[in-house]
Amino acid sequence: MAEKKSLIDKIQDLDPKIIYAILLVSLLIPYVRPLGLPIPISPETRAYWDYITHMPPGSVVAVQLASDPSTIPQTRSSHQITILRLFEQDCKVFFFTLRDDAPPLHEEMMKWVEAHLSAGKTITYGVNYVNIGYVADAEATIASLVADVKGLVEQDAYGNSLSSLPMMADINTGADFDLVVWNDGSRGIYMYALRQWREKLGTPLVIIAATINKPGIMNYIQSGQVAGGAFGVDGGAQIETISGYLGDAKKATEPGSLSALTLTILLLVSNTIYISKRFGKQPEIKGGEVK
Amino acid sequence: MALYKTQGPIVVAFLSALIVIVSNFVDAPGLGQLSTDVKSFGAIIAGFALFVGLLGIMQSHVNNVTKRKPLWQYSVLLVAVLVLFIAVGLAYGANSTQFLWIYDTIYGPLTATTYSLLAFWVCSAAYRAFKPRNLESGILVFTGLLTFFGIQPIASVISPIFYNIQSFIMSVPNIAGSRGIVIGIGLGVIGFGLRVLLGWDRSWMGAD
Amino acid sequence: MVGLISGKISDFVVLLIFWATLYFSIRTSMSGKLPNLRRLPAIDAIDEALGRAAEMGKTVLFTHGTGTLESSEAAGSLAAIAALPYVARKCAQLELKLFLPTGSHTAYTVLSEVARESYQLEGKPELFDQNNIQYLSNVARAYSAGVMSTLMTQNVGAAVFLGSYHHAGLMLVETANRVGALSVGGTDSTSQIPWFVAGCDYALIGEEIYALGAYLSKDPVSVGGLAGLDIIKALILAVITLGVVLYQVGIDLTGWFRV
Repeated sequence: MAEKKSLIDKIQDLDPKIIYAILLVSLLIPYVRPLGLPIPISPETRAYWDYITHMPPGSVVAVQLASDPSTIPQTRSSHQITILRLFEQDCKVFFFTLRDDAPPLHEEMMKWVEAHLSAGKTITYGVNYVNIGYVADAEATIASLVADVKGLVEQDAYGNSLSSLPMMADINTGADFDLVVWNDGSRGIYMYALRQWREKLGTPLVIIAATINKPGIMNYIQSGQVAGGAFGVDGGAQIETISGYLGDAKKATEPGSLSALTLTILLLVSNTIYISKRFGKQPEIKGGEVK
Repeated sequence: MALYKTQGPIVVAFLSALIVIVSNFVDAPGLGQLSTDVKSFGAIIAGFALFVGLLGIMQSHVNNVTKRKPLWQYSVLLVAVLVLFIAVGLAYGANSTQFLWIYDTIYGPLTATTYSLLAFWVCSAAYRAFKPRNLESGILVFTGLLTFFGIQPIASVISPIFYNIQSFIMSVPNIAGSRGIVIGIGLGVIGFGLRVLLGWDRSWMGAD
Repeated sequence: MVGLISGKISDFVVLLIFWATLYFSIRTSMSGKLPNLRRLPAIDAIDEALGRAAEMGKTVLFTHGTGTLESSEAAGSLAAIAALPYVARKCAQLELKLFLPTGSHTAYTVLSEVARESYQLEGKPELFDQNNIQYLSNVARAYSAGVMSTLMTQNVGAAVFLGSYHHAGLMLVETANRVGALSVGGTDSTSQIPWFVAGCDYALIGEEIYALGAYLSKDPVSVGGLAGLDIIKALILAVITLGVVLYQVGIDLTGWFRV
């Protein structure tokens, strides 16, 4: 007859379905009762925002979008608030994407930006911004873009000749840009911009990315190769806090926070049980094995 | 096998890489433009890779259906949705309301759902695996918990020390460790590049 | 006027030193003087996983990750594919069904050839099934879903995850664990390494996957390259140590690397 498991053993070998149920409850609680958590601002996000807000009028900024529908909830707020701020500062923005499924997301975010421009502020396509849409996801593409922008693409995403657009009159190579804003999503292709743009031409680079890429990108922020970064929903919430623009990121951090607390408690409980079982009793030798 | 099949790709790879690498270090008349042209070729070929991938998927899954391989019904669904996307995109345009409706109704939610599973997978993986079985896993558990929890706003409410600890872990040991790994991986890529350039490694051609 | 670009001269010199070291190391290996590679514990882990799958009458799954052979992630994918002959031959010896899902059309051809040849070398070509090599999708999330489906429906007892993975690593590792498969994993994707370490029964970190491929294939080029990389790493370590020590006494060497 099988031995009955004690409660302690059951907790230690908790069925994943129970873990998921507990997690689901903790994710839903903030939607029912918002917690109103404060948002601490990290140094890298502060550095990111400071760089954006210090771009002088007339600066030319390249904005790349490599998020897809799965990672855009993490990077949307940072991305669209950045674009909005750049337009408010009369910067010129050059959009492109390395993901074939990102163009609809770009259009969606541009609608948000246009709806949130300050009163009296207008942006004109071809004058204030240009969008070349999707370009092949390869480092060679960035190398080619940096070497000769109009050589890589002759038309923008809407079929207009790039040379006919007023904004593109003085933009020929990567050196004609004053900043690169690289939304990496969770792709991990920020090295393309780092190697081909930042290191070759010295063009400053800031990164928006999903939290999963933060540890890797921190290397380059610490060395000064990347000027700043906004990571995940927390980064978006921080951008919303310091910019004063409203978005969905602040609300979205609360389920994440509570679920992190839940998981931490679960881990502490299971590890406490594990340690007490491991070091609390004398080992038995059964069948030639130490138990 | 014909020489152009066995040696041709190696010669092309060698010359293309040589032009780009040399142009990075040497300033010579015409070299910059040649390098730009080679990079443009690379970008164009990369664009074709998407098309080749599409053809490959079609071929593979149509084959599944015609030969009634296991789970061929899913291949029917895949091909149907693929054709739908292409047809609507060509008929109405990639920026049209119709195309965006399919994107927002089918593609977006499916992609987001797959990624959302990660949240649950992280929990069950952490619960199962984050146990201090030995010194190394104990350090992993301890630092992982501190970093994972400290990064959340709720940790700052409980005590600001969690945020500071997390910040230290991310800024010092994390960077030290990951920098070593990144250097190693980078060197591995340089080594691989040299082997491909000199034709010593031909596995990328499909040969042994 | 032809000349070296200012600011890049030191980079050029360093690259030449790296190349020279690798070149001579590989040439030495190719001339028959193969450096000694210590046996990696991962090989024992693969043997154990395959043996267990054979005992339980289960199948084996091998993936090379979400990297394609045309991208900058090719190194990781090819390192994984270098380990495939060993796994495939073991599967042939133990008469195990081997599933090879891939997200790369180019890799599909390579995997087919390698697997077919491995089964032929073991004298069991009839056990090779082309249907088990599945080209799923070049979209990473669709590929992950396909591999997860294979893990859950094909009674997988041993899973080998090697190569470059993005977010997909954890999903695959956790699904393998869920179905009770023994998993051996290794990746050069820094964001996924922690999940492989936490989730796999045995994990290789970063460049260990290049070492595994070299050890299993015994290919002089790979082995020589590995030895060359070890020499370069020793050089880098020496320079870093020297630089740090000299910096403490007020001598800054960074200018030498900006010539």
